[in-house]
Amino acid sequence: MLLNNRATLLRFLIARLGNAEEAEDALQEAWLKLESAAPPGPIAQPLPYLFRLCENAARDARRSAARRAARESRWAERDADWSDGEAATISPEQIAEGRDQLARLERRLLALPERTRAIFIAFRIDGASQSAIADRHAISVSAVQKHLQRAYRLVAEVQAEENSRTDAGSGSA
Amino acid sequence: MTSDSDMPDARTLDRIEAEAVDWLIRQRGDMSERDWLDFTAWLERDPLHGEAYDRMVEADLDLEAIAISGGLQAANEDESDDEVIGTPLSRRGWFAGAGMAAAALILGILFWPADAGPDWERHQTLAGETKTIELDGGITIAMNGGTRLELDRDEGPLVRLAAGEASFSIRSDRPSSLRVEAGTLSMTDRGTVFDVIQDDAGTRVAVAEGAVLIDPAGKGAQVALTAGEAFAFDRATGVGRRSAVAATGVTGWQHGALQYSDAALATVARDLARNIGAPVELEQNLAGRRFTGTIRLRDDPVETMSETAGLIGATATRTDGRWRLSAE
Repeated sequence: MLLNNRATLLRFLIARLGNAEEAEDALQEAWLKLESAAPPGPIAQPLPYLFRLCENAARDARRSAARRAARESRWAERDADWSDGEAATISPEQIAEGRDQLARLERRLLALPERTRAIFIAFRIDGASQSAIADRHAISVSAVQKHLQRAYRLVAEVQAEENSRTDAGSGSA
Repeated sequence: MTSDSDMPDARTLDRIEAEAVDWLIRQRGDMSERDWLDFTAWLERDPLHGEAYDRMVEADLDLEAIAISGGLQAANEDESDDEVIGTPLSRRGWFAGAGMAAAALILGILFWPADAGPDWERHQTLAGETKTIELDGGITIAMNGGTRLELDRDEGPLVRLAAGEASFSIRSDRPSSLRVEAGTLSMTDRGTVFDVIQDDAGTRVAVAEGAVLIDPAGKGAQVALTAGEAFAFDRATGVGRRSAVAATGVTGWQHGALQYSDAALATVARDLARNIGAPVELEQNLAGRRFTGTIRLRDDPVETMSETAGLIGATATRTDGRWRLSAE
C-alpha cells in the first residue's frame, strides 16, 4: 500500500519539509509507524491515512529540529525524553524561562474577545464542527473562521516577537 | 528591520499566513485525497507557504496547551462584531468554567461541626458537577464530579482528597507547601499545575507544569515529578509506577478531554464513570485491552459513551443507569 503511493507521498514531504533528505527520513518514519502500529481492520481511505501519517512525521521532524536549535525552551519539559525512566536534564532556568514565555503569551491571548476564545476552545479542544459553532452563536461559518484566524495569527505574531528577542540576545522584558 | 527588495510585501505575507491557518484548520477535519493533493500543490507554489504553515503548527501547540490548562477562559467584554443570523442556541458546556461554578456554589460547601482536632472544611461535588476553590498563596483547586475533599487552610494548606479527582494550580512567587493526601507536595517553582485522582484502585498524580515532590507512602521517601510525568500508586499491591503523560492533557477533564497513552481500559472506565456521573463496567472480553487516544466528554453521556465505544472497538449499553462496555 505504501509502495504504490511512495512517489506521491514523497513529493508531498519534499514540498512540506523543503528538501529531499528530510523528506526521505520522514517517509521512513511514517513507514515504521505503519508497520509497528497497524490500525485494526481495513482503512476506508488508505491514501488520506498515509498522508496523515506523513504529515505527523513531518511535524515530528520539525519538533526535533527545533529542540536541537534550543529555541523551544518552553517545550523543554513537555518534550523531554522520559523513556528510560530517568529525569531529563532540564535546568530550572529553562523551566522558568519556558513558563514565562507561555505566561506572556497567555496574557496577550486574554486580550482577545471572549467569543474568539470560546470559539477556539470549542473547535480545537471540544472538536466541534465549524457549522455547529456557527449555529450556536448564530453567526456564519466564515465569521467562525475569522475568529479562529484571529487566535492563530495573534499567537504566530507573539511567537515571532519571542524568537527575534531570543535571536537578538536581548533580555528586555 | 532592514528592507529587502526580495521580500514579499506585507499584504502577500498576510495572505500567505491566512491561507496557512485555513489549511491548519482544514486538517483538523477529514481531508480527502483531493484535499491532500491540493495541500501539496499549495506547498509547492512557494517555499514561504511551508514556512508559514510550520509557524501555524507551532501556534497551534501553544494554543492547545494554554486552552487545556484553562488559560483562555477569563471573561471580558465581548467586542465581537459578528453579524447575527438566526437565534443562538444556549447550551452549557462551552463556558463550563463559569456555569458549573455557579451551580456548585448553590449546592454548596458543607460544613460539619468541628471535631476535636483540625478545623476541616469539607467540600463535595455531586456526580457530573465541578467546583473551584481558591486558597491563599495563589492556589486554585478544581474539583471534578463525585469528589470529596477536606481542607485545612491554615496548615500548609492541607488537603485530604477522600475520593474523586482534583486539579491543583499554584501561581506564586514563593515556593508553596501544599500537602495533599498522605504525601507532602512542595512546589519548587513559580507555577505548578497537577492533577490527583483518588479512587478504589489507589492514587494517581500527574503533572502538567512545574515540579512536584511526592511521598507516596508517607514515609519520607520522595519522588520528583515534573511536567509530563505521572505516578500511580496501586493500593492493592502497594506498588507505585512512574509513567509519561501528555502534559497538556493532565487537566484536560476541565475542558472535556481525557487523554490516554497505553492505559488500561479499567482506568478509562473509572475515569469515565467519575466524569459522566454513572457507573461504567467492563465486560470480561475487554480485560487486558489498552487504550491510546483522547476521549471527548460531551454534554450528553450517551454521546460520550457511544463515541468512546467506537474509539475502543466496543459496544456500550445502559441498564438502570449503569453503563457496560463489551467487545464487538
